Amino acid sequence: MNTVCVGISHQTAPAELRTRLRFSADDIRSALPRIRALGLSECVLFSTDHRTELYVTSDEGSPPIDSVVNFLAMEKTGEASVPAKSFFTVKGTEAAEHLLRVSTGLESMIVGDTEIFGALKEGFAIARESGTVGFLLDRLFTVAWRAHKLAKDQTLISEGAISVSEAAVELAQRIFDDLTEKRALIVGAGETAQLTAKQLQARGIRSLIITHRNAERAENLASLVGGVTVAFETLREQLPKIDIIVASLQSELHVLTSKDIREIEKSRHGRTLFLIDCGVPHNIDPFAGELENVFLYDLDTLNAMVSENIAQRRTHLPAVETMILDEVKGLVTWYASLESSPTIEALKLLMEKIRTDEIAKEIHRFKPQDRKAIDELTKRITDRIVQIPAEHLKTGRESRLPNRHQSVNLVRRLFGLDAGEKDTPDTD
Amino acid sequence: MRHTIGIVILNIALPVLYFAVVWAYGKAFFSDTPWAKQWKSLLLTAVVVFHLLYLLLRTLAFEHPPVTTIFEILSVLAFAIAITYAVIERQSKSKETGYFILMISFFFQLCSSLFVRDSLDVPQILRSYWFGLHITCALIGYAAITISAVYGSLYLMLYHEIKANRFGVIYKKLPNLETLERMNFIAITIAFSCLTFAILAGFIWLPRAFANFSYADPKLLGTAALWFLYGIGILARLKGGLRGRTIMVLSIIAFGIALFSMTIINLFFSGFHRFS
Repeated sequence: MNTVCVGISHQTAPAELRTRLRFSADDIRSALPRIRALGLSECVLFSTDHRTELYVTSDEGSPPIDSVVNFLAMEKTGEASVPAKSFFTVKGTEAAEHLLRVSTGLESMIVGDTEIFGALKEGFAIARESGTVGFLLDRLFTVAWRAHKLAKDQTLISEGAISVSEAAVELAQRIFDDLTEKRALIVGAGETAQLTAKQLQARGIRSLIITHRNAERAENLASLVGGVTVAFETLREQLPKIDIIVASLQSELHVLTSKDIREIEKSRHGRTLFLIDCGVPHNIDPFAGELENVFLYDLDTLNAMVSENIAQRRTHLPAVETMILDEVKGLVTWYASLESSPTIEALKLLMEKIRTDEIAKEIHRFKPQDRKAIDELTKRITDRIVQIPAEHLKTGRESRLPNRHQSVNLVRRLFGLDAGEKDTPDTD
Repeated sequence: MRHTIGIVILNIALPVLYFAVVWAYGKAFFSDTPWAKQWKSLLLTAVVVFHLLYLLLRTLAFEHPPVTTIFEILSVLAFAIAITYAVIERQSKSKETGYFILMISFFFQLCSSLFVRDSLDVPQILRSYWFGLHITCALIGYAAITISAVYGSLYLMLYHEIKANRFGVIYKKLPNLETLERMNFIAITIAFSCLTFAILAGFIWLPRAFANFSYADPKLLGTAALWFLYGIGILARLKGGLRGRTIMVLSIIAFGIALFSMTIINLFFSGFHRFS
């Protein structure tokens, strides 16, 4: 397979370099035609904060890797002096396997995290719009979508929260039925509180109320997550209406004392209260966790939950890797079938089968002395039919590689020579 | 008789169908099997329809409601549990707990199918349709009480898992606490409504059917007390804000009281309200 992947990732380059080499959608749109002009036939580029990868195929032997690396470096940093070891290169079936590992989350910073999948689909869509996707990369990425879906449907590689904020919201959803009817109060503006607020907002929480000793910080967070602010001094007045409290303040003393929590509990008439304490030392009196309708979690508990989820994901690694190997084998087989001789043979076999099946159905209508002539006549007809595409495929040996592969691929599809194999599997 | 053939076939088929339903719900709960998740509710609906047909055929064939022997009652109880669960599932839009509830239906129907005898010769009083209505409502009511206790137990299991920071299968697979609480409340509401109808039907029918009728009958008093208890519970939930763990514990205690009172009353107290 004449495919190469060139890229940088969290495994090969520091965050600062990865950020500099990040391509936006417009950057990708602008770059793809110029990348192809480097002597490539097909190219797809996708990029996130953690990874930028370019997949290319070439008509003329191996793709010019040095030119491609220089282009990527120059395009975003204006210099060609990016350390070579920051880029990785994988070729052939290894490139295919790498793409499938990326699409299934095996190459992510946290195993099973498939946030990259959105960037993959976007990059592919842009390449398609730009006309830089041919049938080779089309096939490769289609297989990548299938691998992603199989891993998601048949394993738990992507299950379970992998960050503290996700874990907190996941817990909230195990307690509350509908977050769109709940109100949350964010006390402070620490990183975990911010991320948790964003997660709650993404799940349609009814209202997000932000409060902080520093009104400006509260306003900043509120504008980020679509919340409203209240004065820190009015904190206790808000409590009876609140279902979820996220506390993330720098404070030596408890922001919410046991007295506060008892009063909230009384005013809520038995409704459940969910508290997340991100403070070090604790912002919320740990006594709150002992109350019947109060659930209290701190960073240690949430981190332990995340660690357990990641460990659980790792147990599904072998299953996903087996799936990937099977898909790569299928891809290699398909690629090999693009050679013309096996296709011509398959076409001949198909015609012969159709001929013999039809003769078997109707031969009884003919006199015994005519049957040999019928057999020879139908054989000549099918031979002449097969001869036309066979000649084209044989003479195509001298033509440029992609055209010959395209011709072979077209013949195989038109005559259903690969029946039983999905060409366009279901995707998200 | 056509009816009899149908009864025999359904008597054999029903435990098998219930087993299939429990298996489908189990596959969906424990293995996330796609076909099980897609078809389990439809399968349950089909089984409920067949079971209703079975009970109607028995009523027509033997000219009395199928509540004259313990094994007939077990079949009606199995049906009552299945249909009550089907209603709760539809109302709450939560389909995860069927495995735990329908296992009871399967077990009851299996016992019924194995040991039920066709009783043509029953006291005339048991042929009354008021009697049938009274008993059916009572059985659905008690079935709903049982289901509310199951949901109360599931709630407490999940509650304690979350409180203890244990995030295993129970945490991942059961519906959330609010949904379990809602399903418990729906079951209690069905129980209260059906007990209301049972008591009303009894009040209308019993004085006509029994010369020695008495409102002080132990079973009557026990049922009325239970009805009152659940009525108070519903009011406490709606008006008094009694929610969460407390009301789940109370629903389990109330189930225990129901079980205890019915057992003790049947064993140690006789009155007009005894038919076997």
